[in-house]
Amino acid sequence: MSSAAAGIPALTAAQRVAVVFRREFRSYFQTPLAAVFLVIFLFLAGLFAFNIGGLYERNQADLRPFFQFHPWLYVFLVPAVSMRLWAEERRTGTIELIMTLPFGAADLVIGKYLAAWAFTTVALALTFPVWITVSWLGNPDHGTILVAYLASALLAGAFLAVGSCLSALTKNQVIAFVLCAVACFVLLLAGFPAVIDFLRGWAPVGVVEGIASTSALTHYESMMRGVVDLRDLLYFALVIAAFLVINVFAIDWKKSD
Amino acid sequence: MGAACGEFKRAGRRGARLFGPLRYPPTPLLSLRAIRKQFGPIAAVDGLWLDVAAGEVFGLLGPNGAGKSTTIAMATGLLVPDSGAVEILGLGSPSDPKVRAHLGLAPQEITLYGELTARENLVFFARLYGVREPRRRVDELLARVELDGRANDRISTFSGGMKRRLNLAAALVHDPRVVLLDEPTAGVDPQSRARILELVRELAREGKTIVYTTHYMEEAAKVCDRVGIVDHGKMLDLGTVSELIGRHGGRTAVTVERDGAEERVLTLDPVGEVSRQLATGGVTGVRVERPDLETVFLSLTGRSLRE
Ligand SMILES: Nc1ncnc2c1ncn2[C@@H]1O[C@H](COP(=O)(O)OP(=O)(O)O)[C@@H](O)[C@H]1O
Ligand SMILES: [Mg+2]
Repeated sequence: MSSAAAGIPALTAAQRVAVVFRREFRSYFQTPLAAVFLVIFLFLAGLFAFNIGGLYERNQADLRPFFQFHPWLYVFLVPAVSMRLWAEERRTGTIELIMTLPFGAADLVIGKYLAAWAFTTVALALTFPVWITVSWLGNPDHGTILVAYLASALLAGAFLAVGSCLSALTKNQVIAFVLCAVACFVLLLAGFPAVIDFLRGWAPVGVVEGIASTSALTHYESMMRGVVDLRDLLYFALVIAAFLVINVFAIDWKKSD
Repeated sequence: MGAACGEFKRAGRRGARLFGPLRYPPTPLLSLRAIRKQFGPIAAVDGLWLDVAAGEVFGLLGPNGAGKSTTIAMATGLLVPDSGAVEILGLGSPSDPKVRAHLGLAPQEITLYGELTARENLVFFARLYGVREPRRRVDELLARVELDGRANDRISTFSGGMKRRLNLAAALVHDPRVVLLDEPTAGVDPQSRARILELVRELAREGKTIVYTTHYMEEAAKVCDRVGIVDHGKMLDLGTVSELIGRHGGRTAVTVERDGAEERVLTLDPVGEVSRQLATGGVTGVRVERPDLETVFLSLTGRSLRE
C-alpha cells in the first residue's frame, strides 16, 4: 500500500523535478524581479565590455575584461535571484504544504535550483551581442569565448547553490541576500592576487596553492584561458553538490517555522 | 495503550482459533501516542493521546496557544515529536513519504502562491502528487469550493474566505484518506464559513477521516462527531458533545415564570423538573438552558474559551 492506495500513480523523481522547475522558472516572469534583474545585468555587462573594459581601445578582439568582471557582478546579482528561493516559501507558509508532499526535499531543492540557474543562464546568453560585436571588430578565438561562457555559467551555478542553501535558513529575504553576497565574496577571496601575494610572504608554495584552489576565482580564471580542465569542472560540481546537499538537510531539519 | 492493544490482539488470535473469526477493533486512521513538543520553556504539546477512527470528524477544541497547530504539525510530519509516536493508517509515521500520500493538510495560515491563479495553484499541487488528469480534478474541486467563477484570477486578489476555500481544496487534490484542517474558518465571511462546514460534512459522508481544529465551540458542536478539549498541550477529555456535556456540563438551568416572577432551578433532570413545575400549575413560561461546550471547557480548565 503506497501512494497507489490514494489512487495516484507515483511520479519519478525527474518528473517531480520538472514540475517544480516549471513553476519556479515561470514565477520569475510573474514578478518584476526578472525584468529588473535582466536590465541591470545586461546594462552592467555591456558597460564593462564596451567602456570600462575598453573593447574598442584595446585593439584586441577578445572578451577578457568582460568575463573578468562577471564574478563581481554575480556577487551582487546572484543573491538577488537566490534569496527568494526558500525564504519566500517560508514567509508565505507554502513550505508547509510542499513539505507534506509524499517525497523528500531533494526533488524540490533540485527543481528550484535548476530553475534559478536556467534563469541566470538566460541572462548570460542575452549578452551574445557582445560576442557578435568582437567578431565583427576582429578575429577572436571563439573556442576561448565559449569556454569562458561555460565558466561564467558554472560560477553563477556555484553561487546559486550557496544562495539557495542560505535562503533555506531564513524567512527574511534581505538576510538571505546579505548572507549569500558575503559567502560568495568569501568564496572568491582566496583567489585574489592581493591575498595570494600576502600568503606567499609567509606560507610555503604548496600551502598557498592549496588555499588558492579553494577559491572559485582561481578555477574561473583558469577556465577563462580557454582550457577545459577536469579539475575546474570537478571543483564547480563539488561546490554545487555540497551546498545542495546541505540545502536539503537545512529544509528537512526545519520544515516549518 | 499500545501495550493494552497488543494484549488484546494476542487474546484475539487465541480466540480466533477457538471461536472462529473475531472482530478486532478497527485500526485507527490517525493515532497520536503521548506526543510531546517543547519550544524552549513551553511544552506546546504535552503528552497528548488521540485515536481517530475511519470516517470520523474529530474536533480539537481549545483556545489560542492550546497546542492545536503543533499537534497537527506533528501529525503531518512537519514537526518531529520530542517523544511519543504518530501512526497513520497503521502504516507508520508521517516522516515516511509513502505514509504522507494519505494525508491532506490545510494549514492555519493560507499557504498558496499569491502570484498564481486559483487554478494554477491547484494544478501545481495536483501535478506534484501525480494526479491523473490534473486539470479535470482541479476543475471539479474548484466547483466544490465554489471558486469556478474565479479560477483564472490571481489569488492575491481574493478575499480571506475565498483563499480559505482554496486552501481547503489544495488539501484535497490527491484525494487523501485523512484530511487535517487547522482552523479552516479563521477570518472568513459567513457564506464561506457555511460552505466550509458543509463541505466538511460532505467529505465525512464520502468516508474521509477529518481532524478539525477550532476555537469556536458552536462549530465543533455542529460539525464534529467527537470533540477533544485541549489546553496547555494536553487532551483534557474527549467524546461526543453530549458525552462531554454529560460528564462536565453540570446541571441544566430551568427558569419558570409564574405571575410575572421568575424562578431559576439548577437540575440534573430538566425534563422531570419541568413536568413537576407544570404540575403545580400557574406556569406562564419555561426556559431551559442546557450546558454547552463552553460550560464543559470552563469546568475542565476553570477559564473561558474566549479569554
Ligand atoms: N515554532 C515555535 N517556536 C516557539 N514557540 C512556539 C512555536 N510554535 C508554537 N509555539 C508555542 O506553542 C504553544 C502552542 O502553539 P500552537 O500549537 O500554535 O497553538 P494553537 O494552534 O492551539 O493556537 C504556544 O504557546 C505557542 O506560542
Ligand atoms: Mg493554531
